[in-house]
Amino acid sequence: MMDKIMNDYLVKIEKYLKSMSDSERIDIVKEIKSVMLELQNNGFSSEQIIERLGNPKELSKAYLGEAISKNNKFSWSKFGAIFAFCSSFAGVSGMLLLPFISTLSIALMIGGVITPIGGIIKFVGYLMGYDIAGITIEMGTFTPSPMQFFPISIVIGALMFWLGKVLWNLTIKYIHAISQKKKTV
Amino acid sequence: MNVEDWKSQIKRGTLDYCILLLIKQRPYYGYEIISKLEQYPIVAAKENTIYPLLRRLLKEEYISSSWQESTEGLPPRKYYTLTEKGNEYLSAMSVEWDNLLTAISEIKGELNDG
Repeated sequence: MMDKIMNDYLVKIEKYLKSMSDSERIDIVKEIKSVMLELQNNGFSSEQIIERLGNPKELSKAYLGEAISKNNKFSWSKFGAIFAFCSSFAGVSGMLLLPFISTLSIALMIGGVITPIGGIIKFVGYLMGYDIAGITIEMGTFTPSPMQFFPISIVIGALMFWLGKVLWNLTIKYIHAISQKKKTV
Repeated sequence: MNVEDWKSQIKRGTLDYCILLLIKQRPYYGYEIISKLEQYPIVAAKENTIYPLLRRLLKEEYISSSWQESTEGLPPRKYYTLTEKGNEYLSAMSVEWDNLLTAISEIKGELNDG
């Protein structure tokens, strides 16, 4: 039988996992409830069960952290999971740092792709006799000609993409570090 | 000297492997996995480690799960089974594990000789 102690625990888990999809959250809560009853059947008291499962906040954090898979591959669902992780755990890193660097890293990666495309468009335009003034780079007083712009755009694009990727990897590593910090394993 | 740190690193690095090895034999439910691992202190882990870890293995499609009714008033249990992808991953891990054991035993042997 579920009593108040165990029910309160599940309510807290629900709250901390509110950023997950409904089906996933319901499944997790159902499984925790199942193990509670299993432990109870093996003679554990409600207090012992709660003790074993540990702080509901830490347990939720572990779930949200593990939901962001360990490989560094980029995916939009992982980007969403990072924000889910942040929104459940306030604090400087959750509220500011993580959303900032993860968004910045994606902006850099996108910029890294767009910049060379701009370079190509400008170069093709130049070959066809147009100067597309809307696409340009200014470095101090130096404004590259369409011929120079093409290779420069590729170098800058590659640099931006690389920087974005490094930031992304750091974000994933950081989340794994903080979601495992308090675990005894 | 802190052997506890080293032990926890070993545990963290081998838990995935242990769980996949167990699930390969037959479908297991979470609590069963925890009880089984508790028999071996070097890989024993509590619910707050095992359940999130199972969730990650599910996400990465190495295992699949299904809820099954159990008998006599007990709650339904979520059973985990190995997928084809998980089986491939496990085979690759086994190769590396054997490499590690061979390396360690050879290094030990050389140290003993010297």
